[in-house]
Amino acid sequence: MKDALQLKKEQRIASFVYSGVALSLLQYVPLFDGISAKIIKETSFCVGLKALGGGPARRIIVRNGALVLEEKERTPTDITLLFINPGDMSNLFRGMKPRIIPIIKTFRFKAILSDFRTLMSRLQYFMNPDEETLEQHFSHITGLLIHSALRGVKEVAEQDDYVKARVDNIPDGEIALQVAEDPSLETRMRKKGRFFTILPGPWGENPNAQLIFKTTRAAHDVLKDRQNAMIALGTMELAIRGRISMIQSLFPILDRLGYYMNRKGEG
Amino acid sequence: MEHHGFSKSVELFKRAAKVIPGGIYGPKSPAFVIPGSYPYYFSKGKGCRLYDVDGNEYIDFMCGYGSQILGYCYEPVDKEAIRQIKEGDLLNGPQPMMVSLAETLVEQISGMDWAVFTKNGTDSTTLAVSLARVHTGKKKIILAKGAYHGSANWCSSNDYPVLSEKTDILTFSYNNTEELESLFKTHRGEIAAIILTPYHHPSFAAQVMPGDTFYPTVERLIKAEGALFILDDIRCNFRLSLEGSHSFFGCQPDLLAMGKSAANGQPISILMGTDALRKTAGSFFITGTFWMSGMPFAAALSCLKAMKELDILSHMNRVGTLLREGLTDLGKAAGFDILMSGPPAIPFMMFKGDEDLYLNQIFCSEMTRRGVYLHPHHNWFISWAHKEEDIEQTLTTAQEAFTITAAAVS
Repeated sequence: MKDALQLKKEQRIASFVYSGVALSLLQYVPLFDGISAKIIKETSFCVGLKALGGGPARRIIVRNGALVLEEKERTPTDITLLFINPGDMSNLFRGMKPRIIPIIKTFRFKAILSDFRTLMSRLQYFMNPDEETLEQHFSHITGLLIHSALRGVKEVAEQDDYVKARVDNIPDGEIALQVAEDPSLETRMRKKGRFFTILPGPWGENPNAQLIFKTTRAAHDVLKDRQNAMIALGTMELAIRGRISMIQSLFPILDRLGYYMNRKGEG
Repeated sequence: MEHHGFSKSVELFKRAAKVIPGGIYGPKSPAFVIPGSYPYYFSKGKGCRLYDVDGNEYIDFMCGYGSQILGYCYEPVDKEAIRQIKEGDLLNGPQPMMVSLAETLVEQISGMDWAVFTKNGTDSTTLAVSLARVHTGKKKIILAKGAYHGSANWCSSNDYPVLSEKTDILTFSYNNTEELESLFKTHRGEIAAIILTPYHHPSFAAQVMPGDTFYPTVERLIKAEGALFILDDIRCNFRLSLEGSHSFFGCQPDLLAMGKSAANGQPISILMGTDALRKTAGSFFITGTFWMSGMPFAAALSCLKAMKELDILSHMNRVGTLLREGLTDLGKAAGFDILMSGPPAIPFMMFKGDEDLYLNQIFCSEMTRRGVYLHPHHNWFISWAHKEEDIEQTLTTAQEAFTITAAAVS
């Protein structure tokens, strides 16, 4: 049995993982989803999300037709969603009902909350698509999964002492996730010390290590945990090149990410 | 040489994936090589030739990860092993060869007074660490960063906090005597042992020989601390010296872990020690169901005899040097600056400026697809079975592989 302190710690880390992954993905959905694009084109707002008890404090800023995730509390908020503990923040992103104290600073709060909910629901829609949506947006959804994996690695690596030794073993450098049949899906991440940064393209030199999915389908299946990465390597649906030790050390962090993503509701 | 593809390997792997976690575990996993250019499953070996399940033939420079020092299926050793199997391999207690093997080793290995036998390198290194802790009454063990001492939790890459065995493991950068001095200073009175490979042979990197001051510093520090020096000679075993790799470097360990090549591929590893540790080893509970099986003892006695009679060191050094010089020259002719590291019998090649190993991966893949099995990330091994004509054939293939690598770069 895990002790209460450990459970609390994991609850806190889960809130970083859930909010980090979901809020960062929100930035990409409007790039291919008309409903989300319309919202960010027609309005502007800043919504803060803050969890008491050592959880994250992050802000979503919609302005000038773009949606940006702000990691630090800089931009003044129109509304702040204050969660009474990190578990409640996680519950929001799991589609469960969290306990929230809204701190409202504008009369537009109803409209802003409605827009924010719509953006979130569009993300949920693409992350849990029906067959038709999956077929129609297969490449975009796979792109979201790639980004989600890298962002999840970043959160786990930076927050969770359980993987500290693994993170220490990864040499500093740049890792690329690529899909051979769709170069537009390439995403890169830089590791320096304990910190990971997802790098916006375009990129210059060769990355230090490459994880290359043969097809978009292979990327989707591995990242959705329908196919084991080691098996995909053996069947050549996935290839690794360059400083392979960087990628090998990533796998246990991805396992740990799965551990957090599969947690049941908490409060 | 006609290439038959890897369809049978891949099929086997798919079957394995259903019943074996990850399909193939450890460093033999496809993740450690380049799938598409390397086989996963093998059918047979003879001499320095290896055959995969698809019928592809290779000149093999991995030698069963070092174990095949005389070559696959070296007949005199196999004959002794088979004879012993027919007599009974695993009986209720040891057979006379166990005593003979210990006597032979004590006589042959420099500065060592006793031997115990286990199965794998991990058994020996882990036993050595336990003995060092019990003998000194201290817990901390020092090892070099990136060094491989086996798959036990105290030394493997299984860095999970719930596995508490790593709590008392300290690490330093190989050859960095200042860092080592500092560790001994910081943890004065707590250090049980330092465990080292004879030279540094990490995966994914060039091999590093010890600097002039390295071993003298180690010996001075352990003496002052009252700690022990464990030499993990598992991988280098008998490829630097038949008297133990420490005699090659002029140092003297308290405990010496050996294995891999001691019985030309039959399962045995060895822990040897000095008189000072005999009592501790004698009172420490050591056992394993298969640790006293007779066949590997018979094979080891035969292998040790053959290694001496054949003067394998001179041979391996000669063909190993031919290989390293040949690859260096061919690489240069193709426009590359080649870095050969390690001793002649345990070489590894890298392209200078290619720390991420992209070029190694292209070159070694092309070699392997053409019938010369070279690992892109792990040091290679020379055996008695590699002859000059094998090296010649390897270099002919290398010329082609260098050309392809150069084309890939341009």
